[in-house]
Amino acid sequence: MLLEMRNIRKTFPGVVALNQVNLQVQAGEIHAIVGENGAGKSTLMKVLSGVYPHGSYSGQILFDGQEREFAGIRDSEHLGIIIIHQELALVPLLSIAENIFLGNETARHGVIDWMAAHSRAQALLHKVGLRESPDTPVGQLGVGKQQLVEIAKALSRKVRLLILDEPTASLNENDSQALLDLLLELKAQGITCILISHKLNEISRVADAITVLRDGSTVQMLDCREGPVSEDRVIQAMVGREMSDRYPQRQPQVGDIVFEVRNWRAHHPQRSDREHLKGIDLNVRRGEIVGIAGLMGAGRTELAMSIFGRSWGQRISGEVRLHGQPIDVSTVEKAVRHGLAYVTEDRKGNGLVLNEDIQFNTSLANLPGVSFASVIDSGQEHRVAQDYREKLRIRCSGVDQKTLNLSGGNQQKVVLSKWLFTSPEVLILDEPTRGIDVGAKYEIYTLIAQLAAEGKCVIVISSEMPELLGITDRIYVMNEGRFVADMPTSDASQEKIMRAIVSAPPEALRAIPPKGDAASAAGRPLHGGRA
Amino acid sequence: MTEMSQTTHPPASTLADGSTTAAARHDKSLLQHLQHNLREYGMLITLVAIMGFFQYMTEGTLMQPLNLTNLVLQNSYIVIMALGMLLVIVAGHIDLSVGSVCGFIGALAAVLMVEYNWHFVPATLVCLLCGGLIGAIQGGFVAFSRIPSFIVTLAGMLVFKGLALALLAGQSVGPFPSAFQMLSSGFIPDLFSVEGLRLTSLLLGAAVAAALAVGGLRQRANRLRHGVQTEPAGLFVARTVVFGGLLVYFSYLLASYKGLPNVLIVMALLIVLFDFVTSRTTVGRRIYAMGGNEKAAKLSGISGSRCMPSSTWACWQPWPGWCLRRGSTPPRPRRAWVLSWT
Repeated sequence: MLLEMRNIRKTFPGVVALNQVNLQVQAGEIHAIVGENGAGKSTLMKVLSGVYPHGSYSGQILFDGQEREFAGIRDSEHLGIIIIHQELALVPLLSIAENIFLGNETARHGVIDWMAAHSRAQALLHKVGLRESPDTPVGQLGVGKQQLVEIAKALSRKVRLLILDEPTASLNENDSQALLDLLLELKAQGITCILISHKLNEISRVADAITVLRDGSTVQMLDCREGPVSEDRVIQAMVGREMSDRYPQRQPQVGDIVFEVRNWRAHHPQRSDREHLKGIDLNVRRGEIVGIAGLMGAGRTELAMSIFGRSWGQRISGEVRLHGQPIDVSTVEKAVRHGLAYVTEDRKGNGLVLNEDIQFNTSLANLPGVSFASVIDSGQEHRVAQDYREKLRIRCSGVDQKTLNLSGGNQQKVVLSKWLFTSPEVLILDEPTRGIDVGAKYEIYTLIAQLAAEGKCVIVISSEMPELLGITDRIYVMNEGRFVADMPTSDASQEKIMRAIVSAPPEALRAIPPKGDAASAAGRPLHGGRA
Repeated sequence: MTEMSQTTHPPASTLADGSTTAAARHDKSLLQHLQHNLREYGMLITLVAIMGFFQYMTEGTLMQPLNLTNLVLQNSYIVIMALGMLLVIVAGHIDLSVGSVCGFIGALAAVLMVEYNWHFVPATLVCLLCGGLIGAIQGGFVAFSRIPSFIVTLAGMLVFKGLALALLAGQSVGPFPSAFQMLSSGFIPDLFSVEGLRLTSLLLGAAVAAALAVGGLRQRANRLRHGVQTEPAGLFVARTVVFGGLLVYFSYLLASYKGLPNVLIVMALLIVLFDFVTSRTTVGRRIYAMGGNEKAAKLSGISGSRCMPSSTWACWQPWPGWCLRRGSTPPRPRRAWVLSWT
């Protein structure tokens, strides 16, 4: 037994965050912790790593069989407990080597020995399987590679227990697989690992044991070595009820074509000679839910954003039609006026003004709707926000709560209410359920179904194929900036979608950039400040 | 902790909502309210502490009517400039040139009124317009040419300092027409003749205090009607009484000397205007959204290029500040402060 946490109880004013949580991690295992957003996973890890010092919680932490009282992160790191947060803590302008040894420099008398740092960094990068020069600035790497740098950084500190908080949340399929393989390799080298994740398929692949948290208590500990644990069983433990159906039932009532995009082309915002979107034709019918599938870097977000007021790219050409009439969507304002809405994939970076409250964010895209002669009617604004709070079941202390303090699912609902308040005809939802727990996902699916039933056109961009298969009527498959397939969901399957992607026309295949590059190039304009 | 309060299940959320007994809830809400608003109250408390300290150390000079009047006369223009700066800073930018623009506009006013013998009304209007234009131009560079405001206004600072010197030819120009000087160093007329007390000033102060109390009460009622969280009643009453009392006390002090300075009235009106713009209008809302998260604001259809000039435009120097202070322009800037030309 490497780590045991006994009866951990942690309260904040008015809230019991953790109540009698027990966690037992064997040496050399990969231990997954799952639970809905707000179940207390992060709080538990903060207790373990010393962010909340001893005395601010009750209960015992035993590491190596001895009781430990961490006064801060330094103490836990000293023992080899290292946590990699979901929001990576790398300095984008510093090199890989500099980042790896940040705060732990290879120095003699305060003078850094860069040669030694370089060679050690090289060895660590080799260990995590990252083929990059240690001198490369971290900002030039894609998110997947940055994640590996974080792990190399952890390894540089003689790690014994590695904690990863949703490491694959922003990675594409390939990078996720590579990361999971790395975890298995580290496990073979005797490093114990705690993995926090929402992705049950990943967990069932690598985890030896699963601890399920719900409402701040341990619900169940499942041992995967005794036999495979079904995803349904984990979900049932997480939500405390049986989830018979992960997607709402609906009767699609599809009408005429309402929204149409013809021969849409756009070039990379920095490199004007690189055509990213290569002539896309898209149409959505009344009441239809259309999915866009594809790998990361296929250009799905770029497509959506370039249509939505040219928020991405340059030298954009093509035609957008609504009810058969060409419409001008050259600015976001005009796009909104024509009834378009785009719910971003990056709700914290692009969707919300985090420092402001729910009402502020709800009315943001439709200020005229709550104002008269440019003067805001705060009562009206409040009523609107309250209305959406009830409709979308946003869990908050009140609509004057800052959106910063909401959980992921509720933040997403605020972004959705912002766009619903513009009464759009066409909704483009980009990764609408990213980083959201199972329960909130279901609510969002229900909402999407409802919108379609009201006769709106819904476009869903998602990297989770089961989700697309579960909620859409028709799926476009996108690869390398063009649509390579258009299939009704009724005869689509994950295999078919993948086959459409890999059997893309040879010209597109030749243009495939080295792995990771596409993701980083696409990601940069969006996640500028993320790293 | 906050994450906990949004769990999808009843146990934790009821805890967070505090659906315990009413009394316990009341106590808690007072404490919580203070905790949440510690920063705002903290600033007030600090101000009071500083005033108390100097009141004690100067053996009461600080609060003497003469001293208070001088403080108001000498510093109002800084508050007025800071008001314009507020919008710029909220939008996430900075204006380094306010000081020199202020000096330049002051010089312009002096030249127009003293050398060209303009009446002070058109001269003031021209100066206001000119200040607004300068703000709009600088804001335009930030918004349309995407040059960082630091660079634009650093250049502006040097340019307008030079222009002011050129305009005055390095000399002090004055005196201003006495009517114009009234704006800066005059006091509101007294309608009653009470020995040793400017009753009009005192009544005006009391009226403002009453208006604030009524306004606060109405807003509170409005919030309660819409179910918005408000501060506890006790705290509201205490705050209103303390503020009202202070306001009346200060106007009493000022009234026992020469009354309320005109420039204080100007300042107060501008504060009301800016408060309205920032908190109640869509323009103010857009500026806050831009400053809070530019990318989110843009994707919500708020165009930065329209916001920026309007906020920078607001950073005009509402009054030729220097002239307000001395009644004549300075021969040359002595120190290159950012906010002040002195």
